[in-house]
Amino acid sequence: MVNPVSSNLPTPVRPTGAPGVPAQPAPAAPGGGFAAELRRQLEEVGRLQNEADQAMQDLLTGRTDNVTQVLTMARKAEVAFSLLMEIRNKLVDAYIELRQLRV
Amino acid sequence: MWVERLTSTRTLQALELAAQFAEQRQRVLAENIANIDTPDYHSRRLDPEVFQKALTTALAEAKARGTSRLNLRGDAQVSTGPQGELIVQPVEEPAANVLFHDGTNARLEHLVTQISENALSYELAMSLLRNRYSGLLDAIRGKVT
Amino acid sequence: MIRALDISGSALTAQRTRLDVIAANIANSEVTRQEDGTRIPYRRRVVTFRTGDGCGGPGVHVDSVALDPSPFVKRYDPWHPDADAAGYVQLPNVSLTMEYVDALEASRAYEVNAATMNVTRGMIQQALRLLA
Repeated sequence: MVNPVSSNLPTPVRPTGAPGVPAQPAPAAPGGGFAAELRRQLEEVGRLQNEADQAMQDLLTGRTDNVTQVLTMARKAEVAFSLLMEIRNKLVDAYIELRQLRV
Repeated sequence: MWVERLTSTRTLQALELAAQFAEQRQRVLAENIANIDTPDYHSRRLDPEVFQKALTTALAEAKARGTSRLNLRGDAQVSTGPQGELIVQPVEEPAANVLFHDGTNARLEHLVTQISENALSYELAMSLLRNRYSGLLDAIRGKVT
Repeated sequence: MIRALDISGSALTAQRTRLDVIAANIANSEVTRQEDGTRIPYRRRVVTFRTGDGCGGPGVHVDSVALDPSPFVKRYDPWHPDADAAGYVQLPNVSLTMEYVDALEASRAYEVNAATMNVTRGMIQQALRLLA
């Protein structure tokens, strides 16, 4: 199931079970609290990206001439996104490892 | 269709148009500098202010309509073509500025400043474009580079 | 943007031609005879610039190298081999000061166009980095 948050980001893949095995809601250790935290981070990243977008537009249209601010905002959004993606990758890796353990 | 949505956001288009504008303006400025000793030559110009104003209007319009395609209108100097590419029409500077012989030096410094500013605008737009595109590629590949 | 490079390049060529003509004027500033030996002094050459690169494109080019019609300079020097009966010799209508100032202007214009070319080159490199 795909959960679109913003059109700029790909959606993180929710781990689903293999056919015939009941689907697990999330990797073993995290509970609902973590999932909610993750969604919050996702929204935060989306917000940072949108703000960076708007700042770029303002710079191009001449509304602001604060180049430093626009560039740092772009970089921050980039870093936040990278961080989130790393977390997602680690979660997927952990899930795959756990699944292999059961066999 | 997917790729369109990812790569044609309003901001990306605005960045592309800004870069194209700086590129076209560079040509006009180079021509002015090349002809600094040509008698009877009339300087031509492309105004960044005109471009910025047209871009502001186009962005607001596209946002209000919910489309992502930007259309520059309103001034003869800048407009968008059928594929969204920028079309420019430089205007001639009025003759009074050119006939001032003592003003040659001031005009030279002014031209050189314009060239530097223009190059920086281009670099800025390209840096931001690179940043956005590499972000997209990271997202698509699913790993961080 | 490559066009912008051509435009600056045409200006470099034009200013260089101008400098060459100035150098010829300075070298010949005391010459009192033509190549075939007739006693007519060297006449100053002058370049005229025209917009366009000479082939229909944008830029600038040297339209023509014309002769300066201003009168020759007369100097009293009765011992000069080309002096006339009254002891005056006709010298080229070249003023070294004017030529020098002209050369300074030409080299300044050359510099500015070379700098512009560098700036354009930087911009093209920016564009190429988009793919790298």
